[in-house]
Amino acid sequence: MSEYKIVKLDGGHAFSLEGRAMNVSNEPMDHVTFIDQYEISTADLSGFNVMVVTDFIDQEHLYEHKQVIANFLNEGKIIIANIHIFRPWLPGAGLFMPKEIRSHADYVMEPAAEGTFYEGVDMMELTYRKGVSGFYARGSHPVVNKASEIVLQFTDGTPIVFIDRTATKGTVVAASCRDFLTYATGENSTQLVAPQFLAWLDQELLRLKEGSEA
Amino acid sequence: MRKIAVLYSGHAPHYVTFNTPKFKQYFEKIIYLPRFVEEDLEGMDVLIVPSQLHNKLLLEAAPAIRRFADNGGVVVAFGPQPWQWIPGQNWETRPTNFWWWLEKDADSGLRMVAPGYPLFRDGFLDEAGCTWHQHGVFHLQEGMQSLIDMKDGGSLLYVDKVSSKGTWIVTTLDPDFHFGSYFMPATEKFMDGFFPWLAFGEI
Repeated sequence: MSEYKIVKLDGGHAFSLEGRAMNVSNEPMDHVTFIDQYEISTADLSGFNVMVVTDFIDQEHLYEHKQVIANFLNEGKIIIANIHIFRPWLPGAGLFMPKEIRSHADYVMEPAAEGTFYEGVDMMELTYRKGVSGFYARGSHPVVNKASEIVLQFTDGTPIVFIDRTATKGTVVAASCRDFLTYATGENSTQLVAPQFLAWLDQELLRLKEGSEA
Repeated sequence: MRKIAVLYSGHAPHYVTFNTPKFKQYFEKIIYLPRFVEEDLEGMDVLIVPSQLHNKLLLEAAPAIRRFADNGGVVVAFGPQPWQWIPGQNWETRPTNFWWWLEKDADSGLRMVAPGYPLFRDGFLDEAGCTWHQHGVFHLQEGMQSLIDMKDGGSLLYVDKVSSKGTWIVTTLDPDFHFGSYFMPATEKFMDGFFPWLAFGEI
């Protein structure tokens, strides 16, 4: 049985209703509980150990309620941020910088380590869709803590996805790319991202649990 | 120069688009939607209602927006509209044609039907500047004027001067989102022309 109990903030916008326009797939997310983004300060989050924040979330509001995020992390939980951050509401991550582009090849990515949740994912399939470059990520968040673990980067070394375990008692996954959970049903190797990410979540939650019991 | 206000959702694409200097200089006010009150619109000539707003907040603001138009204001609405709040709104969701330009004999589906309208006649925009994918169309009521139709029916961009004392300019296009998410250059070209037209053009 999975360790993760995922809550995802719902932007309440048109694309969230249709659930399709900007997603790779329209896969049902039975393993995810959605709450309206403006309920973050009043909702009971005690039953969840992973929170996912994606594009279309009001970051002015998140910043006003950044203590909710800090408290969640300090309970030894995980925040996943698949978003372009412009307010400092997330410990361990800088503010988004768009990638400087001289050629479409500047969007090409590479795993920064072996054995991550990008194992087996063809980076060209992740970068390009029908010949168009930059589908997955168009910029980065500066790494705040040197101890952060970089998972995915542009080929010039600019980080796209990194994991911070130092800023709080929990784990931050700062990701300037598209929503991990939607990469489940594509017709190529990118469909590996979501299941491998969920498996990683389980491992990370066990690690956090062991750490808190130690 | 008309005084233009824009509603701001607090999400990243809107933050980027509305704070980009060449666009921001056209806005008298950037109004954070969760704190919107009707008094914010006093003295404004134009209100831009961008795409991808939180549905509950949009619907709460809608009566004040409609009163603004009823009092002679210009209201611009961008993007898909799955919730009913625009006078005479008849929105049809369609599968998004992301890849029309890769098909054989590529046809965006756009049909310019009002080239003489000042937005086009006076050189602010052309069809190419309005050309990227769509998420659906609007079906119009009597008296509304479509500026760009879609080949399979419905309007991409229309002007409504009959539902209120003011003007509603409604389009399925969502440049505010695409530009602010660093995606699709054509959307920048649209706003390069559209905002100057709102500020100085003949509406």
